[in-house]
Amino acid sequence: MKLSRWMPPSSAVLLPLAALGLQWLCWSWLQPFVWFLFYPAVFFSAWWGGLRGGLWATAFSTLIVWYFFIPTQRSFIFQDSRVLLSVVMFAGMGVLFAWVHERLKQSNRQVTDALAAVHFANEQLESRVQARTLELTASRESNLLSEARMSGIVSSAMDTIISVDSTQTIVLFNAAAEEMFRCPATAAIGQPLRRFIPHMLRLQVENGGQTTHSAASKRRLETLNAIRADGEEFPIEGSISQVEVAGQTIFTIILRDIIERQKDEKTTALLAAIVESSADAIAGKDLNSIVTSWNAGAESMFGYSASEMVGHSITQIIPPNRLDEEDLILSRIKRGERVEHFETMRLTKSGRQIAVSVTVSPIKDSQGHVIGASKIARNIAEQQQAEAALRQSEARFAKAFQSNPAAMCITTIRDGRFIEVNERYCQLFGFTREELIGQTSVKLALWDDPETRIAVMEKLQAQGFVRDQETQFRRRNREQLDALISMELIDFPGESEPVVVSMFADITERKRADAALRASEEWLRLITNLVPHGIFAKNAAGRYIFANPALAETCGLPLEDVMGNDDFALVSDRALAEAYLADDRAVLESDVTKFIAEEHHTDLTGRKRVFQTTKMPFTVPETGERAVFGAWVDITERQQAQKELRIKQEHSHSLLCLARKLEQAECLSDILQAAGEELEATLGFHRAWFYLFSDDRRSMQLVMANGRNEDAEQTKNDTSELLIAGDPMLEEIAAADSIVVVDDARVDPRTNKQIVAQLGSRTIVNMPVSMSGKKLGVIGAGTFGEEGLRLLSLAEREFFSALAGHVAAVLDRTQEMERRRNAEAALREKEALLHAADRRLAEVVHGMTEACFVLDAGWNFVFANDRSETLLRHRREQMIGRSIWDVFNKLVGTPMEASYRKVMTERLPLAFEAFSPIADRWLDIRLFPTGDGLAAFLLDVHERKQAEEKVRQLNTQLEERVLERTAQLAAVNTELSHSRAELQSLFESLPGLYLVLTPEFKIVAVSDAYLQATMTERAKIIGQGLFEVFPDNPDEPAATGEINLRASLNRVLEQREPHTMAIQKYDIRRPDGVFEERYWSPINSPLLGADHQVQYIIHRVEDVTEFVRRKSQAVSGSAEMNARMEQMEAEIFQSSQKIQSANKQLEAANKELESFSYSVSHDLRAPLRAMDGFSRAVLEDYGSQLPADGLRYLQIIRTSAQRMGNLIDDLLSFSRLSRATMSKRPINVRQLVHDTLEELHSQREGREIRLEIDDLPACEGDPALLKQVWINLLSNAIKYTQKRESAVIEIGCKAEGQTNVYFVRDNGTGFDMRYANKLFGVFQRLHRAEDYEGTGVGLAIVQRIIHRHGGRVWAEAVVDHGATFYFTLDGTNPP
Amino acid sequence: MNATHIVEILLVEDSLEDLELTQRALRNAKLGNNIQIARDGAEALDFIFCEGPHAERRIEDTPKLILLDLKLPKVDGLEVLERIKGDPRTKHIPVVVLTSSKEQIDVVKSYQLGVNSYIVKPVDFEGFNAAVQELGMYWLLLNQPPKLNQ
Repeated sequence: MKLSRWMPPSSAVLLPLAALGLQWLCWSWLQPFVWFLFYPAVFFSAWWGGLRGGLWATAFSTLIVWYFFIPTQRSFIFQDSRVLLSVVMFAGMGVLFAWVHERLKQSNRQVTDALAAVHFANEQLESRVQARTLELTASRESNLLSEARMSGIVSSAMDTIISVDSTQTIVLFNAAAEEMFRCPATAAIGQPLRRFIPHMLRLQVENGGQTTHSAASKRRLETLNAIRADGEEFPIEGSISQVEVAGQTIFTIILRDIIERQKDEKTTALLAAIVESSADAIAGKDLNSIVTSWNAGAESMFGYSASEMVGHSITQIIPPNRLDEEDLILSRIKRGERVEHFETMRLTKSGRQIAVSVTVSPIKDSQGHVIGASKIARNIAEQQQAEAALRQSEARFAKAFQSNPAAMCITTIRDGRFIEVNERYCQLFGFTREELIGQTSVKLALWDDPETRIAVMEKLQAQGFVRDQETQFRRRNREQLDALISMELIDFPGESEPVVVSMFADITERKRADAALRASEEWLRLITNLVPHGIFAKNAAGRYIFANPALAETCGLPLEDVMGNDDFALVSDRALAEAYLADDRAVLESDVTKFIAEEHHTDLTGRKRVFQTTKMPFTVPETGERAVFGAWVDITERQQAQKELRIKQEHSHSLLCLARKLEQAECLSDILQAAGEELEATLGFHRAWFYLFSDDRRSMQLVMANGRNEDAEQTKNDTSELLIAGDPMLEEIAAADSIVVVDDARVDPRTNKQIVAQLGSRTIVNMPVSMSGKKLGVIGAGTFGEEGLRLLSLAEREFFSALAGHVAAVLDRTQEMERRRNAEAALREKEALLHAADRRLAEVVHGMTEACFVLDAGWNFVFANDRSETLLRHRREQMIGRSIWDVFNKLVGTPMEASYRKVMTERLPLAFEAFSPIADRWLDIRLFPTGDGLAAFLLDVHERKQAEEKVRQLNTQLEERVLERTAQLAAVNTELSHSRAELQSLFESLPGLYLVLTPEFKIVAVSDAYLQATMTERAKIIGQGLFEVFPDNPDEPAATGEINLRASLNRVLEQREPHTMAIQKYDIRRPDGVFEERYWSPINSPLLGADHQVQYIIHRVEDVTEFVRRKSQAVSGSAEMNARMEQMEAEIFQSSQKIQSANKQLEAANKELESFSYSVSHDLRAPLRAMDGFSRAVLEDYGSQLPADGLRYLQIIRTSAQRMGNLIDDLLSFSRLSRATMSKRPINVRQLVHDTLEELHSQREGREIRLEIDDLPACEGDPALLKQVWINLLSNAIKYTQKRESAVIEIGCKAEGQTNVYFVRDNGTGFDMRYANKLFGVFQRLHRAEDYEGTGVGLAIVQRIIHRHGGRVWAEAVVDHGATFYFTLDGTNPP
Repeated sequence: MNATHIVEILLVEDSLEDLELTQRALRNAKLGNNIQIARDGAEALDFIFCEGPHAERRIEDTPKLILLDLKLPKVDGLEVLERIKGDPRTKHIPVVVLTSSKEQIDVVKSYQLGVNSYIVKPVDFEGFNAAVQELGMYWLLLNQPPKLNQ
């Protein structure tokens, strides 16, 4: 540096001097180039010394050259002025050099400065890097150191440094970077930083807006991803600093691969945790055996705390006699070796020696130098013990688990996956171990109810264990398994979650046994509770230790009062209790079961019972106490029943005896004798009696009495007749149907005390004797006086009743026998009387003209009168007692037999006429059922029948004659037809002009004169229509011929009267087709048939053409005649003209009417519809806003409009009637009425109407119109009966002369006959509209139709009794 | 073709009241849309045959139903009916005579001319309503018009 400082000035002198010397020496060769060497001198001076050096050298060199080399040499005198130019040139060159060099120097200096700055920065950086590296290394080392101390794992890494310029092009790439990015620096430099760190975008380090070189201008880089040359990505961390070098910004990035660090950090944390948590003693020591770390394990093992040990020598814990071990270990550590499981003894703080196993590992720094040792000591005594214990316990556990008599399994908690099961478990559930392990109990559905498992598991998790939970499982074969399950949660190696150890105790059998036991106990309890026998157990002291309800009931005490008590408390009789106790003791002592067949027991209430008892000794299982177990059966009732049975047997026997005796009884006394004997023998009554009721039942008469008592006779006398009324006992007896017992007559309120005292009655028994519901009398028995009372048991009463029954039966028989005897006697008497009467009757019967016989149910003759003997040609004896079918076997199989049998079975009389093969005559046979047979009355009608036959024959003859006559008539007819032909020819030859027309105006006959007059031929017009043959003159449009003629003909058809037409112009077509003017005077007459219908119309005309012509031509005969004729003709013509005009007017009027009604139909209804429709619209749209009156008014408007509509309709249909054409046809009136009623069905609905329809003959008329008639009449009838609860409408027809009068009769409101004339008027109503709706047109229509049919309609009525409407139709008359 | 321009019903009626009532009845029956009204026979014919004020109309766009009163000013209903039924282009249109007249002659003539229905306007509005509803329902909704080969 000194040299360089001094170089520029000195060079400015030295270099010109050196040039001087050299030029001096070489002047001879250099001459004349005086400046030759001085240019380089000045150049170099300037190069060395810059501007100053250059200038100095130039000045100095100029002087030297001027002085020494410019001629004149060694003087400043010059010879040539050109020299000056060279001087100036030189000087200029020198200045140029100086200036150039100065510029060069300046730039050089700048470069140097920049380099220096870079250098400085680098230096600083390096120093910082170094410092940081050191720092990092130190920290790393300290990290490593500590790690090394614990794990012996050391790793180190140098930081990576990369510099980039402002374009992020790498300018520096250190070795660590090479290693980090696996890319040689040569390859990396010049590359963009992006290649390695793709995401590092922002390099700028901002520091208050100023960029400095200080270390503060750096920032940390967040963790970034970097890419190695081979493409591997890895995380880095680092810092970036920024330097300005000669205006250039250089960024230096220091990076660290943090993969390792991240790993390290984890490892460190892990190791530290391991170390701290390790039960082993872990200590670190340096090579001087000074302890550097001391973990909790060491503290507990050696008793020294960390503070006591760290910084002190480890030798403290080494027994003195083993100190050399430490040296040995240390020497091995220093060699980098590991000492493993060195088993030795160590001292604890308390001075106790413990056996430890020591493992010592060298701790190396990052350079691999051993800097210490980590020592792990394990207390092998504990370990050994623990291991042994563990092994033992494992073995024990495994053994205990496997051989445990309880079924056990280990499962996961979540899904019950089996981890382990023991033998017993497999047996219990019926699976093999292989089937279970890995499976889940859920999947195998071992739990009977999966919900239970969830509940148990929840409980288990909540409290950590489950004890003896009774649960139901399913075995593999789905059998139910009841088990007590205990569970515990334990940790299990290899399982992340705690597992469940479950232990099962199979209680299925136990449960079953329990259930069975419970059931049998229950049964036992039920049995003991239900048996009617007493069951008990008594201890040695005689106290009840068990008793069943039956026993308690017998004792009359509640069960709890029996228990614990002895018999002294249960029976009133002390002796009885003592006897019981003695029995019990005897049983206990003898130890033998005792059976007591009859034990009489009296309970506290004094009720007596008989028991059959069994007592046996036994030992109470619970206490070992000796006791008597016993049971008794109550045989009281059985004994009672046996007794009763015995009595009943006796009674039966007695009754049997009685019956036997009674069989032989002849009379009443025999009966009573027998009855008395039995009463005495069986019931012990010595006296018996029998009273009969008198006929009026007011008293009783003693019929028989017996007894040993001597007073019997007297008794008989005193009490032979007893009045029933007033004696309660007798009244009761008279009314009773069953036995009446007076136990003690002296005290019984029913008895007559006077008689009792007199007779000494004690017990009185009376039993009514009834026969077929009628009480005949009373049989009785009783005790008297000393005999005392005799109380009858139920069975005895029954016996008594039965005895009375027997007596009654026999009594009936004997009485019947007696009665018959009496009756027979009476009969014999009467017979004599009857005989006479009978004979009279018999005489009558026998004398009847009718044969009469009687058959019984078996067809046997029981009676036959005299006439039957003759008629049937059998004697009575031949018939009586024999079957009719045997006597008259000819009858078998005839219709007569069927008739007899019919009467016999149907029990109905029958009369018929038949030819009897027996009598060989015609008989009128009348059969009557009698009793169970039949009576037959046969009348000989043979003569009559024969007469009839004669008539019949006559009839046949007559018929034959009729046929004959018919043939004759036919012949006559033929003759007649001939004569008709004659007539026809006669007709045809008539001088008048005649046409005969059918009602359809077809021509059937025509006179020759007519043909002549009309210029036609018969053959052309016969069978043709009149108007086809004679059309109007087509040339005369006003022709009226056809119209007028047609009108006239129609009129004839309608009125059936002849009609004379006015003179009529009717032109005739000539055969050449030209019409000829003609005037005619036609008369049309109907020809009525037998049915009064028009059969033909005879059209007669007179050709008055001539007359008319003449008149118009005024051709005259006599003046007067002419005048008169003219006048007449004029009148005729006038009148005919008048008629024609009237016709026209009528036609016009009709037309007008038609158009009127047409417009009525159209136009009158439209406003009504508007009224109704808009009223309705108002109701619909504004109804809610209208007051009630408004609504009502609108409704009235609507109703009125509708009514008006109906009126118009009816009126129209009425008027239409007159215009309608009528077509008559035969009508089935019955069908028509039926159809009409069908149509009126809706009106009849909901009504009770009885329709009585008579036979309705057919009629002829217009069906549609007549239907209207029926509709109107029937609907009226329905309408006017609506107020009747049961309406009756009768529809019928009666013949009045030749006319059928149809009628409809109802029982409705009727009407006042005074107004009958108004009935058929249009709009005439006899009832108010609110009572019966209607327009009053219906009957008007009826009348119009009937009139059009030529009929008549009228009505008869009574107010409130109904009305009848009659009508006739012309033409309905029967033929 | 714009749907709103299809005339569903041509109502030929001279009485304003009846017109309103008929429209009301059709509205009640939900048939009140697209009704063309003609107040006399001539107007009806103009509309049907696209003459006069309706000259721009296409005759193919026939109304679906014609309700025709018989007693009409200018040209009477029966003549209108005759024209409709006598023209092959229009004879398929259902024509219902809706009139006050119960006259048999009107009924017979109408049927002779080929009317599809003959309804007598009753006086009472319920009956009127019912009649209009029924015929509208039948001829507009239920009746399938014959396919035309045009």
